[in-house]
Amino acid sequence: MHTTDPTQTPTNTAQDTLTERYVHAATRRLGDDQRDDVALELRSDIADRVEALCASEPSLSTEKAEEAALIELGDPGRLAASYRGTLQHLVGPELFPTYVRVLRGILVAVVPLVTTIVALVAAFQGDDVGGVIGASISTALNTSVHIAFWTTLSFAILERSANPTQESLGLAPWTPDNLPALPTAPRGALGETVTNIVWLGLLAGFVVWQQVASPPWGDGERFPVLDPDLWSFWIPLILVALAAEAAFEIVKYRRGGVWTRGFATLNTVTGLVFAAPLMWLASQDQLLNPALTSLVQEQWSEFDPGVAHLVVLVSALAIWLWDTVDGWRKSTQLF
Amino acid sequence: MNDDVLASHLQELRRGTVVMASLAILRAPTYGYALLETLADSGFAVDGNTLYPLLRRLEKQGLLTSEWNTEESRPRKFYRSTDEGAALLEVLLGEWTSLHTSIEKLR
Repeated sequence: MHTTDPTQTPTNTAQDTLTERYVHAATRRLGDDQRDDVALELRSDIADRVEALCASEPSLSTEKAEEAALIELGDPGRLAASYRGTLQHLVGPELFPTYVRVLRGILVAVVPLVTTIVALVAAFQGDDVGGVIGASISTALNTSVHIAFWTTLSFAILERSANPTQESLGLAPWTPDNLPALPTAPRGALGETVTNIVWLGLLAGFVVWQQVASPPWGDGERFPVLDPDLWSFWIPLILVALAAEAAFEIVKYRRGGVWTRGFATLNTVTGLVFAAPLMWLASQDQLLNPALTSLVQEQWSEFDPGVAHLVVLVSALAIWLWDTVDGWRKSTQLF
Repeated sequence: MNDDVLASHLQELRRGTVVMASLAILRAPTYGYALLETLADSGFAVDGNTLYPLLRRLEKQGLLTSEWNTEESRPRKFYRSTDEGAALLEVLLGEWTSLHTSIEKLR
């Protein structure tokens, strides 16, 4: 066998044929050490294919045969990637479970927090309801997209660095302790969770609705039920408390719907964050919209806002106490 | 049985056998396209897309050597298995036989 290396001698200049375009596409990103060699081998393979195709089907024109040969050989991009040995995925099966765990962990920890802070700041600056809601939504979206992008990018880079392991990432390796608790009463727990979240949503919805879309009074003017001045701080706080309660419900369900002492404590606190502002405002006679109160009094002179506030105060206290006791009772049944 | 399921399992099973078949064929020097045809005729359907990069990897691992032959109408790169490649084929065939025996015992 003759053994001069044909890649060492400059071969025929590239003509604009399908074959040359294919060879270029398949080899342009290869290293200098193998580009010419691979190109030559591909040309020879394609020529062999064309010959074989023409032999088996004499009616075929050379152009058609060339086209068919290239289709047989397949996507040059895949071929190039395969030669280079580069990865064809962003995050592979080795890292994927960790990727999902990290991404979810960061999203859950950061998005609600940042959104709440931005909403509070917007509310303090005296933005109207729409402004606060808009700022919250765009913050939540932006934060999520950023977190997803940077986390994915980090893992894509890790995937391309040498053999990353859970240990080298500073992440604890998986142990059986990571297993979630078995749901004790999955059906009941899901029902309870959904019901509670729907109620919380309705309550939050009412708070927003009474401000922005309550039905007009006699002469067409709208009077919110709650004092509009409260939007500067107190109502956003109450909405955040409702969101915290909803988050609590979800976390409790995800942990198997089992009441623990920790959950009973958390339930007491989130309940208080909601009930305390309500009770304070009611005790100061600041909850109801004074404009609406005087309007009601025009038609019903005996209407006493103090009584309405007392009812709210007592109800909020009673509901909070009942909810707290219920949580502790359920948690202590376990022990 | 679902054809797709069957095809995917067959493909999974055959994946490693292309290396064995190539090492077996390449005891005699052969160029890429002829190797592809021999493989296809023996029932090892494999794409050029897969085979050429595979040949490069095997060469890098010292299991194959290659030489350009410029005597014929067009230059062709001939591959041949090395002693190391032949030894690997023996090991793989041994493993293949023992796997087959184990499966037969389990049936």
